Amino acid sequence: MSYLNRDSALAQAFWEKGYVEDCPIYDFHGHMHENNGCYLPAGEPEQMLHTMRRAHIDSFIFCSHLALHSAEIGERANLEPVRRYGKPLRAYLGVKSYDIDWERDRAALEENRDVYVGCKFLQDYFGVPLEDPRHTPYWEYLNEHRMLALMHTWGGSAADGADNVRRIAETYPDVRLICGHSIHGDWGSAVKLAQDFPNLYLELTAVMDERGVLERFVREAGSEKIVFGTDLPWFSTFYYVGAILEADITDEDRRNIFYRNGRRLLGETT
Amino acid sequence: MIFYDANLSYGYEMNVRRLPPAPCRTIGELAAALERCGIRGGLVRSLMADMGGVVVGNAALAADLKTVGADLYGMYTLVPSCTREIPAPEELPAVLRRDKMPVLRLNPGEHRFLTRPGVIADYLAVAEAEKIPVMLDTACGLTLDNCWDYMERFPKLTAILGYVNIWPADRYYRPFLEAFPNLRMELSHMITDQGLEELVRLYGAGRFLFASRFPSMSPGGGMLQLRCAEISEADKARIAGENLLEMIGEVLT
Repeated sequence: MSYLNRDSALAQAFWEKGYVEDCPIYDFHGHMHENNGCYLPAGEPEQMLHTMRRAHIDSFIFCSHLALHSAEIGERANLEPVRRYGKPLRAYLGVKSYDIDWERDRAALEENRDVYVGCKFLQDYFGVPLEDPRHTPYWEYLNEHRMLALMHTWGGSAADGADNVRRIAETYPDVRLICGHSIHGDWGSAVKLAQDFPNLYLELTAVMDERGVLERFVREAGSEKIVFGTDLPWFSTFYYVGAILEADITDEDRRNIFYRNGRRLLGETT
Repeated sequence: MIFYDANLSYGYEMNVRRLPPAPCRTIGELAAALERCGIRGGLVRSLMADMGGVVVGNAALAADLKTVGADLYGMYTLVPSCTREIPAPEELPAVLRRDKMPVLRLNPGEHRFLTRPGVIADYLAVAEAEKIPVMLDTACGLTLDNCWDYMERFPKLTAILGYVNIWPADRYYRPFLEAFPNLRMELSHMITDQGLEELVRLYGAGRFLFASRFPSMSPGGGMLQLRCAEISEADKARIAGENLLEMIGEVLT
């Protein structure tokens, strides 16, 4: 009896141990610490690193809930875990639209270039559109330095829906844009954005709970435009890996999603 | 580990806004999909019971179950007894055994009846007494508050809670596990990192059922999550299928 997907050699290999040595995982959508809206059994750094070791996660880029939601704590919640544990952790600086201080945040980015790969935008939660003028210095900085922007994106949102993302993509062609949740529910717009902008990638958190969407993304946007993400510690890495292994795509597509695209985005050799 | 999936469906959804991106129209397609990922069988509902009607839907599912090799069991759809559309409560256990449909379900949204427990109390009383599992599924016209109301009225009911909320939701569902000892939870939406391990530690593996909600969701995610969970192999086997088979056995034997 073969499990997960009898048509995939990679799926059979993952089934044996839960990981495959030559197929590491690059997770572009992570968080950390307590969250106001839910109970997370394993949200502290040590607990998350346990999962990362078991799932062979080579790169995990996160923005702590506390950095996003609690101005009183702010970037300490990102910096301390990366400084303490190092690889595979790196961080997005949280752009807090309710507490904007560009000079403070620019200094943090400049002083911690080994920690930050970009910024995280969570506009639906803050009620401020991605392209709001308050965010302009952040976008200009990311564009100048060709850094990453992980955007929470959701279908129908007036803050981070497809139209907001398109305006950003048109204005900042050198930012490596990651559409967290892939404009969730507005799958056609997500595909169109990925087709129209070479610097824009779709990310899979909360996408994998709707069967068939990944196959559409691969068919219409290409697996080279998709990166892996889990919202860890929200979602099980193994669940997301298993859903991708079971999907009706090729093992080469899976490798693109698990690590090849991630390496390219981070400027690592492939 | 032998996998049985506790929440499967097939059929034609008439509201195109609710169509899953990759639908499964026939029981044959369903059986082929299960074979592809190594799932031996499971518990299935037919969308025909909600789209066409409860009488034709229950009959069609019973007929379809006889046509496939996969070890599938049906969910029998209830409506209030006052309209005499389906067998009376005392006649139902024999019908369930005959038709290999050992689990009851309801969809007050599609079939348009009140969600107050008294409306189907006669069926639930039989279910409680005969240990017939009742699927309480928030994808089928019930809120979580409705589910609580049913359980509060019949606290010893053998129930399966299906809660559609992909986000970590322990504060919502754990009260059910604490309050109602015969309630099991299907795991299609419990995909929190290290969440299953904690639930098994707190409530025991006997309370949980592997489920995917195929074709809306992927079976592969939950399979690998369970395979890699840091619980004993015996607990994994129970969750993968043994718990469901035990519940079904109570009705069919």
